Amino acid sequence: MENTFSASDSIRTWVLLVVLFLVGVSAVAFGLPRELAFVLIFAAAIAEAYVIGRYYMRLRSEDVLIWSLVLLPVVTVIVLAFVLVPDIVRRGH
Amino acid sequence: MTESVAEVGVAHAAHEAAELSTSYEIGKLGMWIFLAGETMLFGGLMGVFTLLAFSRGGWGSDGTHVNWRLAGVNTIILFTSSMTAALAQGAARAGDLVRVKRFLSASGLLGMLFLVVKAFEYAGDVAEGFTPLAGLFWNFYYLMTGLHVLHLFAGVVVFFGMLLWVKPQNAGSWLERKLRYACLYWYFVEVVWVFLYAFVYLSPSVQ
Repeated sequence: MENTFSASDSIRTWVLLVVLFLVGVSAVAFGLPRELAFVLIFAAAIAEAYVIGRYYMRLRSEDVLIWSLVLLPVVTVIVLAFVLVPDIVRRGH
Repeated sequence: MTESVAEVGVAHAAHEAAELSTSYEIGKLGMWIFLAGETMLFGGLMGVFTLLAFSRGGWGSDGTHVNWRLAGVNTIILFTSSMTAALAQGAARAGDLVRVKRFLSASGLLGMLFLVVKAFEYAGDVAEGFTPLAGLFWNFYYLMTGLHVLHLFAGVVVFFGMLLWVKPQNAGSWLERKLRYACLYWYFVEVVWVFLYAFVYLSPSVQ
């Protein structure tokens, strides 16, 4: 994969990213219901990050060490955010 | 005896370092460790931003004033700059230095265009009275997008700086590697923007 990512692949990836971007934006532009809008916005953002990671950053061909460097901070941030929930949400701000 | 133990220790460490450098590309590993720290930085800010939004029942009218359309234009600009960065990597693999220069310049120029659009966006916000001190939402808005702008500016400097390295004597795996590290950083900045756009621009604009 690393050495076979061609110019046409780069352009296809760009098109895919733009389509995902339009999906996310449509949630606001068309005034979709609140819950559906949030789902669309974040699903599109996660999908875009996945596409960039897979095709541009070439995570698909990386080993467990690089993957752990990607996932560990993400998991840590999520855990820390959940740990802060009682403090921030209960006390207001 | 003590010296020989120390010598053995040093030799062992050198051997381990040599093994590591053959099994891993040290530059790439270093870049990923750096990006892991950056993920914590931006992730932490986005996490607190979201928790504060929950605690206040949303951002109210503040959130609806962000210019998500202009930021959307910037998203497309960033996607395009990443595509040209990927094309520059492809050209480096093929040993086509003219195209490497062309695509690298395009990425740098698109990065500069992003900064220009961002300046217009900030100017519009400030003109409407939404300064960094206008409230908690705007504190976070300027902090997170400002930090991203600094990262993007650094990327632009690196891209233009790399143009000086694109010479026939540097062609080959050396240039390809350096370009890979720079592009890895650029793609990360793009991923951060994708989430900033969702958290700071689109979500608060949902009615």
